[in-house]
Amino acid sequence: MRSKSSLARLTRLEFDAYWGFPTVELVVFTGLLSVANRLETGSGQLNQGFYGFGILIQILMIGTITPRTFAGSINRRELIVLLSYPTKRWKILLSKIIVSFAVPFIALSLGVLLNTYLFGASFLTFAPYVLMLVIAIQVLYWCSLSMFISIMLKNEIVSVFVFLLFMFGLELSPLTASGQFAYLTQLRSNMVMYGSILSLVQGSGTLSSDFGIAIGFPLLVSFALILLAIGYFEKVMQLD
Amino acid sequence: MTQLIVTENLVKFFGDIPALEGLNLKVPEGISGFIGPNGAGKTTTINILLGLLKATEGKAYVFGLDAWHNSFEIRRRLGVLHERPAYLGNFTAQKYLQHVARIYEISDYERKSAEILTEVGLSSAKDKPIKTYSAGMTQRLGLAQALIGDPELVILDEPTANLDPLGRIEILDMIKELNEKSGVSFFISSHILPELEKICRWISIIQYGETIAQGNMNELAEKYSANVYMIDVSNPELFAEQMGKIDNLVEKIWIQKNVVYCKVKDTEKLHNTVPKLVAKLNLQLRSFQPLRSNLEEIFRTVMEDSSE
Repeated sequence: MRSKSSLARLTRLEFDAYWGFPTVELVVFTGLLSVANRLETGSGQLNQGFYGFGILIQILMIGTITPRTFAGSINRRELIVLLSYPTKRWKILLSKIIVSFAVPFIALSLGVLLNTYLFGASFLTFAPYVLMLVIAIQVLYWCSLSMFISIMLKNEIVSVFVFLLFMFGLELSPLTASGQFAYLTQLRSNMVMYGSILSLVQGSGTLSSDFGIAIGFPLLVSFALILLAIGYFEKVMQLD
Repeated sequence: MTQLIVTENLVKFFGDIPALEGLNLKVPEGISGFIGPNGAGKTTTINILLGLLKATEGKAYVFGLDAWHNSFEIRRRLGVLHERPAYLGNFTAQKYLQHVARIYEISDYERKSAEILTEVGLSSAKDKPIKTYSAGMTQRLGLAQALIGDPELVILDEPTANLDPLGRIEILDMIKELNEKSGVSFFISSHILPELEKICRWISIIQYGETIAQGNMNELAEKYSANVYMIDVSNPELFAEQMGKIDNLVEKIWIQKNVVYCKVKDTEKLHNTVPKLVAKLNLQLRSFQPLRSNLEEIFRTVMEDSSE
């Protein structure tokens, strides 16, 4: 009797494999860091803990976890073993994407909840959940980008550097400064996303035109990258 | 004879570098050996058969199915032990095998994984993390995961590498037993030729990405035997002296432990001459037979022939 789908089984395998990585420490560290960051800025805004230095940590975290999951498993020769079992390639990749997304998302969400509790905000308002949604979109976007780079380069270390160069290179570029890549790098869109979604769910204020760009654009790019990655991995990619 | 693996003019390039240049393999049911020098293309061939690599040209079939397009179906029916495999290190062997068993959709995965672990001699270490395993233990785990899905064919890339002598004997015995009792076929790539010789019925030899010899072990031994005959007669010195005088019969003749050995130029002439010479010298002929080549000799001869 088939109790679980093979995607669920593979995802479980990936999750179990993650406990070799200091996942618990990462989750706790992220939570504490977001609190410290907010204390340091002295802001009353819930999402303040996830700006600036907080964003940097998030990018570093995803930029190292995702290549470890995919390119690292090629380099360690774990993927070649996995691909020799009767599994569909797209399921293997999707399970890796799910785990690469879920671990940072859980870590960051804990940060949100910790912030909410420590700064005396109410759990009954939309704010913490909107922030978690914003984080989910951001993490998905970074994850899909990092996974795509990993698949193309097939090397863990190079993938980490290319992802970081891509993120910070765009952020520091003159085009970003003039706003061209502000949403692509996502370093600036956190605030816009948070404000836009909060306005929407609270029914207050006008829905900003930024809403589409800040939410629609990263979601669209994420799904496009995931589809491209799956298509490439399923039909083209060869492993030796 | 059913062919489990067939390749037709298989070509594989990595960029401009050729790995396979028209490989033609035919591997029947049973235990088959796959040999060749380093860089001959053995691992590339295995990866093409598993659908991990796509051939640049030519076709590869496993169970009659196209290796690239029907890779999933093929992998349901075979098990693989890769060269230098890696398993998720923080798992215990038991937990890892249970995960693999579930991927193969084995309902009684706990019992099955425990059985296989006992079979490969890992039951006492089943609860230890894989990362603490020695190379030999990891190899045993590799065999366990290759066998857990009850495959029809098992592809083994250097299965006895890293194993101690006793471990090697156990693994070879296990392969033989699985083949005899359950009819599981094995395709084994190895550099340890005496081991292959003990268990393989079929041998495929490749070099520079091409098949240079393949066939039944006995046929190959006959074909590539160095034409050395062993003649046990009552007076070996006299016999050897007289044989050496016959034109165009032997290339080299020597005596070892009172037995005459000769490398023959013309086998037909030898078969006619020996009985006549024995009768003429009034000797007693106790034994007259070709010296069967072992796999190492066959391999060396095949390599020499192909490089000429």
